Amino acid sequence: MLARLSCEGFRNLASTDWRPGPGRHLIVGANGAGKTSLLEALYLVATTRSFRTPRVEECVTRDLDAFRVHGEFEAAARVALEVGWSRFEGRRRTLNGGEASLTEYLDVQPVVAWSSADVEVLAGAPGARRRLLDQGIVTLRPGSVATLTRYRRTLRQKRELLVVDGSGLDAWNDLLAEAAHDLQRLRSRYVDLLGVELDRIASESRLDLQPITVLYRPSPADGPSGVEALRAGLEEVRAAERRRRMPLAGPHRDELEIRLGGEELRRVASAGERKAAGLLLLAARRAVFAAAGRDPVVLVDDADAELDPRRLAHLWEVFAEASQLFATSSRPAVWESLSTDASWSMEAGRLGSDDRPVEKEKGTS
Amino acid sequence: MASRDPLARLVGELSRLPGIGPKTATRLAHHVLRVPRSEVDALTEALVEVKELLVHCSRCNAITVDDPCSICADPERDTSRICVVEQPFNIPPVERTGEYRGRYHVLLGALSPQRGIGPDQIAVTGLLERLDGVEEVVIATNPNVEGEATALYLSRLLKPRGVRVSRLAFGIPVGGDLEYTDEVTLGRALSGRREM
Ligand SMILES: [Zn+2]
Repeated sequence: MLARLSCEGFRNLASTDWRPGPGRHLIVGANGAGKTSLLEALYLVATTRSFRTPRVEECVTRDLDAFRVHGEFEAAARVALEVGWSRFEGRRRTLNGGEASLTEYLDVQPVVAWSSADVEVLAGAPGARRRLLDQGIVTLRPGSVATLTRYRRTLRQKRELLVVDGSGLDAWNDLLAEAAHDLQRLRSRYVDLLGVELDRIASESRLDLQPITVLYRPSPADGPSGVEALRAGLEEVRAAERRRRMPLAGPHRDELEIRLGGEELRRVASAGERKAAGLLLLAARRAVFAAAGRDPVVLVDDADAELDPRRLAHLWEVFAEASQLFATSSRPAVWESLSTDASWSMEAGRLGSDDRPVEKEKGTS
Repeated sequence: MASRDPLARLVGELSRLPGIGPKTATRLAHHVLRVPRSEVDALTEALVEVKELLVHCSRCNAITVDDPCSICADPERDTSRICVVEQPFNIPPVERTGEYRGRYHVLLGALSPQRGIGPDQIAVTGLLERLDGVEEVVIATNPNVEGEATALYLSRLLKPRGVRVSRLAFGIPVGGDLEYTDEVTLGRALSGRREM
């Protein structure tokens, strides 16, 4: 659980020192007030990555040379994480003020987030869904970073080999089969867990939506069944790979199919259905991690966008089981009938406690 | 294009050394300027001596003054086993464990398409020529993807020739380098090697 968040030089946020408690928090403010940046800072300090950009230096306030985000997390003991960047020294991260491996760092506080960029996961190219899977396996067990890295390095070498001349391909395929099998087993198990939680959540929710199912389609198809099967699958495409000079089978071609009522979601769903499906998926991810003893902080940016009040209310119920959640909104009026544990207002990068009844600007979307 | 400025030239040469950036190179060059002539002579001599006196062993590629090297020439060493490493500096750590009494073969590299290193760029032919009377080849390439692929490549090459092939088994962190692995860990990896 996040006990304290402070940041300096981060985006358009004023110097912030925030101590939220447990439960479901609502952060209200106009567009551009800094709500997303606050969630981004929290996500960054827990995961070392931003959900908005792969280039963390973009997070520095305009005209400044450095930023710093400091988070204190409460579990068995209080742990302090810090991420910073400066024009002169680049990126850095510390755990309790000292150095730590990425695995140790990620072990501290799992986070799951939904932001507008995640529409890609539901509607975009397969790469976004593979990233969702890999985020999932690393959140579940941070040690999986090693499995991912080994696979990615091997694939990069094989890719280069096929561009150049292809000699020694057998050995690289042997290694790729080992590394890919490890990764596909993790992905496959994670999708199984997601499916179970999606079913449970759907059956408990009053949400009026056709059933969402997730289907893992590994490449080659029987990859997760064993290293030999995977190796044989690589052999099958060998000639085609040499001809086209690129790797044609392996986890970089895996697909996660997300279906709504039996149809591929990205083809059939409306914007509202997509948003609802995305939040159900978020709830399922949360539940998978929590069940594994990795109870995550949940972030929902622009929570009510695309949702009618009924859907919003039913989805909000789904997240009642989250131990700490931060939702943002630019439309305070739609939240009046929903129960929250704390409410905050964000104005020009400044965060204020907001326990008064909300009655500010209406419908600025 | 050699620079006419001797200091700039020295900085240029020094910054070509691995691990030395322009900042460090400049600091070293200014250090050379300050020290007495005798120290510079000693350094120059040492540099030249390394190039003139040291050679690669014609059998195993280790670095040595005498060819063959002391390990290849030692009649007490077990000739039925060869331990394959990537670089000459990988031999001393394995020796220090005291767990291994066979001979060595240095590949002088590991497979890495990204760096343009394929099977023809590492010293494999010499290894194949040394297999008479060899029962086991222990592959001690680095535990990173380049070292792993090299091990798998050698295993494919050696097994059809009736040689037992084994690989350092555990204890070495994934992505780690043999160079930095402590003796105890390396010794345990040697005694627990697994057949490929
Ligand atoms: Zn020798």
